[in-house]
Amino acid sequence: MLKFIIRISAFIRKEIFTILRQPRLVFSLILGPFFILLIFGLGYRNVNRTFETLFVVPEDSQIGELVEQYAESMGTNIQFAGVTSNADEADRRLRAQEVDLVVVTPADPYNDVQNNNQAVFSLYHYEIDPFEQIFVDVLGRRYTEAINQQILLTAAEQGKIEAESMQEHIGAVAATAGSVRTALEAGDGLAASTATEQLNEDINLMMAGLGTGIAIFDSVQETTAAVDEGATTVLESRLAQMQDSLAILQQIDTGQTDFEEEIEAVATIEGALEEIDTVMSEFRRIDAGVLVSPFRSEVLSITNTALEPTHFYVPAVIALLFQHLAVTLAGLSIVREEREGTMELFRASPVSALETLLGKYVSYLLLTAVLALILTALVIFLLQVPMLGNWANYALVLCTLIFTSLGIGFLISINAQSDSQAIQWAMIMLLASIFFSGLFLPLYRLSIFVHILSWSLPATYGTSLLQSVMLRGQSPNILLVLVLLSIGLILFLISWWRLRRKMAHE
Amino acid sequence: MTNGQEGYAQPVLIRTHNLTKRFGEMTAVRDLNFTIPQGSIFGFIGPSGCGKTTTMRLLLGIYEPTEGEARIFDQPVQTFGRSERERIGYMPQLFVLYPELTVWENLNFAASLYGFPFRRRERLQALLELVELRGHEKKLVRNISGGMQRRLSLAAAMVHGPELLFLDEPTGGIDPVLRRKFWDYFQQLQRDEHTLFVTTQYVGEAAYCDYVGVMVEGRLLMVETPEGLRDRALGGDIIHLRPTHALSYEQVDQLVAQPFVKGDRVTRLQDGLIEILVENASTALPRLLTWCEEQEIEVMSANEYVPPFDDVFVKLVEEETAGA
Repeated sequence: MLKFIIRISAFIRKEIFTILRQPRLVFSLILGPFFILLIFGLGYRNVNRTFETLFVVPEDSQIGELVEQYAESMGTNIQFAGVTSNADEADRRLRAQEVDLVVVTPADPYNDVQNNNQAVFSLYHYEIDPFEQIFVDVLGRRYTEAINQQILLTAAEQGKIEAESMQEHIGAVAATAGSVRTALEAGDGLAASTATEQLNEDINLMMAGLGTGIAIFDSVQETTAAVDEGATTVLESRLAQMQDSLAILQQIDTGQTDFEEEIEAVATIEGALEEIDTVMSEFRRIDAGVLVSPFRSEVLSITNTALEPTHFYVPAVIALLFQHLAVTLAGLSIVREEREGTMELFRASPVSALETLLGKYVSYLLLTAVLALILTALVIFLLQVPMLGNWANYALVLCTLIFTSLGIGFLISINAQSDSQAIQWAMIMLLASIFFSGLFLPLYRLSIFVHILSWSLPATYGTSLLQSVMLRGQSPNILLVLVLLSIGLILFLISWWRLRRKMAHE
Repeated sequence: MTNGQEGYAQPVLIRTHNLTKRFGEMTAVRDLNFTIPQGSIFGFIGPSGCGKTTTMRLLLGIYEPTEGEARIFDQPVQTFGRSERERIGYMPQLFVLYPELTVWENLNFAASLYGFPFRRRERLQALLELVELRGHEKKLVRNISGGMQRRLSLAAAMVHGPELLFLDEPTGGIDPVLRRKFWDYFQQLQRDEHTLFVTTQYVGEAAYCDYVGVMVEGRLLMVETPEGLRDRALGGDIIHLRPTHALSYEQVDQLVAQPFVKGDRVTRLQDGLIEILVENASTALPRLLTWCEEQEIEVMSANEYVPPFDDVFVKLVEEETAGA
């Protein structure tokens, strides 16, 4: 057992000294990744692109006056680059990339609507990046939504003006109803009949102006389900009551002496008017913008800290860097022993494949763990990346990630014919990890068969687990840790088997 | 001692039987049969590419024989475990230690590889003393000379005190003074009861060996002592006689007829020098001088001539090749 430990220690010391003897390598191993993260952290701008936008508006179009106003409503996403009526010139400027976007407005939107068609704003772009294309698509929808909302806003404002005028009518109707009541209470059938005719005219006038603007308010009430009856329903039912009551009043006989039923009808009309007035007041009280857009969203995170976009990428970059570091170190290890001839020395010596492999595993695990410690300290204290989780969990994830990555590296090294081949394979691993580990593309964007590849990369596990630990403060998903560890153990066993064959006689 | 023969004073340590190694169609070594006694220096001589290193790798268990068998410590090499390997040291042909490590660290690594206990400072210092690397412990190997690297390799092969040392062309590419020193180390090791199996391209180094195996194109031509090799190449000892005046044809004929002259082998060389083949130079030389006195031949010099092993080797190879 002692000799077993002595032999393993031979590799541990050898590997560590060999790397530490190369100060440039150590420097690049520690500070290289940190500077990459630092430059990324300092250089990343969380802003959307601004599109230099040219509008093509046919001559004599009314909409031309509005496009700039609408463009400004889009914030910084659209930079107004002017209006032209020359579509060919706009096309030339777009192809020359003098502008980023050309918006062709509809020639006659009113005519389109009259013909039961939607008027179309066409957005032309010259983008080749699919994500930029999606952004242009979203921008187009937001632009037309802004215009549509502007129309609704105008309607709502108009409705409120109408409501104000309506309330004045209601006051007049109420006064007339009061005259009818006075006449009825005085037992003057003739005067009551005369006043009822006036009341009939006033009510008809009021009904003609009601209900156009109030529809928006009614829609808001129904959508939010705030009341049993919407504004329109209230109006319709109260107007119906008023019509019924008016019919009773119109049957007044000048010789009649008992007006109990008629007085009750007047009271109903007064009550209905009061309710309509209340609805109108409520409608007028609400801001037109709120009426048109009664809902807005508010996004709140339940993480305990504010996360910058850079913070999101740091765990994934750490996972990727340490996977690459471990794969490269281990990847060159055995193939280099073979190239330099030391493998022949091992074959003739009592050292076993297990001792060789264990010694190298331990040395690289120690080395990369120290590098990880330094890099993590730099990231936390200099880049101010939050660490919400438990350090033991962080260490567990990182050690498992490095262990499994070393397995891949050793497998590469044992099978590679030369240093350059090992480096090529390590680079392919890196490339695959950049695309498939969730660093830039979320895994849900990848088809299910690509997930098999994704979940065979240690960086995928590392990214997911480190994000949970560092940014959510959660314990790592134990299933993922176990799967990663199992992959690492399988790789270790395969590497051991392959190295035994390699170190056996030829 | 001839190919495959025994009769050594010491027990046999290495024994091969029809040892053959083929790589695809190419036969690297074929039907090697030899034995090596314990405590000897066995030199394996032959031109580059003749199969010396392949034979060494077969004996180390790095290669598996295609046919035949190699036994060391009376055990087939292929069945070697740790305990057998710990009894063997190996110095490969090329320097294979680590340039980024110091001399001390490399030696320490080699010691650990063989499971040598951690308390090894004195042992390492003694070894560095032996190979004259004391004072260079902290130097990075990439910064030391080729000769120092070879000495470090030798120290690394000896670090665990092996009974049997395989040295693959240990003197290859180093200057004659250092080569001589290496052979001094080897003889020192032999005195310390180590057995050495040494391959070399320098035929002259055969003189330092107890036994020499001559290898050509994968075949072992013979295994002999260095003297035995000369005998086989030349047929006996050689005496060079330089008379004051050149011998006449009659005098030469009379010399040929003398009983100490072997096989009528008297040859005139340039400047009147006469080369005479005899059975044994030490007994033939007094008889030659007596004959010269009787013949009133004035002698400038007469002594045994030991031809260089290069000549011996060439002659042997030529003869064996012609015989084959």
